Amino acid sequence: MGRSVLENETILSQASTHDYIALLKFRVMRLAILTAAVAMVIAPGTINPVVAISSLICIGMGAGAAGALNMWWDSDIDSVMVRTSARPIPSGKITEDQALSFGLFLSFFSVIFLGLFANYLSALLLAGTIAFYILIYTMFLKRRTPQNIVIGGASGALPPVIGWVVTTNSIGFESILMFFLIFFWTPPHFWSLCLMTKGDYSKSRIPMLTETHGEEETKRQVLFYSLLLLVPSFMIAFTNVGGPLYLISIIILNAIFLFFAMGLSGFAQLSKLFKGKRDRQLFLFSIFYLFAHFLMLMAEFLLKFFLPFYENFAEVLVWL
Amino acid sequence: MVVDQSKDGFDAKRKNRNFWLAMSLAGFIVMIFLVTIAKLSNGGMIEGFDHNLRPSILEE
Repeated sequence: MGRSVLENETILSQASTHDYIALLKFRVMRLAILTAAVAMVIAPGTINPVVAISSLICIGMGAGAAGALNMWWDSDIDSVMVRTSARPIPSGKITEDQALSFGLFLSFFSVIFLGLFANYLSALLLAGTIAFYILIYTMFLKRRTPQNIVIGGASGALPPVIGWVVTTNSIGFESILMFFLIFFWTPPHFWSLCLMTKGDYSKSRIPMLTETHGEEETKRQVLFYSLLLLVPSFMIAFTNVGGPLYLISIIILNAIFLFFAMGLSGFAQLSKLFKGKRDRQLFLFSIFYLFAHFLMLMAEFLLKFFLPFYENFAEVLVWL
Repeated sequence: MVVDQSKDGFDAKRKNRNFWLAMSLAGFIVMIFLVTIAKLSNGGMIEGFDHNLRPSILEE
């Protein structure tokens, strides 16, 4: 083997398995899998566990594919931002072409096999999610409007709808509420992250709200969406998938979320209670907030499943 | 992060990638097998795709 060939091969193949996994944006993938799994389980109807797990793998791969394609397109801005500079493409471990091929392969694979394992409606929704995230959010909105993450958040909100469709082959009212729960949750979550990483987006020239309208306006918008978030959060409690346990939990969760959002927005009395960085507190709590919502829905389902008298109790609440 | 440019480092990474690729393919085969069994067990639409006319799938 000639020296030049070996050198060329070495340069092209520096990626480890870990780097490919990093391309999948594991944290986002985790959220997609959890929300889809909960929706799949609590949806009316039955699903074979093998089909459910296989479908979840496809949904996770689809979410990962969207992450990989997002990193491929945004590699130029990832390299100038501190938060994203260690990602596989800007750090030189994976080439742009490798990321593109990997993302496209996973996209087609996940959509085709979700269609075969579950149903074609769920596959269509998964394809729509990936296309929306890449074509609408990453390629169009992200570099053009400060409302980028508000509209783009729709793609992150679709996994529970896909999970619901896998079980029922139809889009239920409850799954639409779950969609709006994540949709209204995304702006406070992401803007609190932007407030934490001040200046990072100005370097990359991304028109984030913190850069175009300033921190005060961003904080006001955070509070606005935190209030909007109350609507789907409470509406779910009065549907067939909600119940007393979920209702009590979300009263506490929403109270804490609003407390953080109002503290961030500069409500004088509340602000005095905060010792640490308010944006960081809201960001970290927002992650727990969403996970807790879906875990409570799962707990509600399990209670109804194992304790028949609890279901009657929950039905009274729905009737009220 | 320091990138290992040596041939040993390159071989180790390639071995690691190949191992996980093999694991993924094996997992995929197992998944297809299990889904097939699950769908066959449930009756499903399997009969509709085998090109044989069967009384059990004819509408009365």
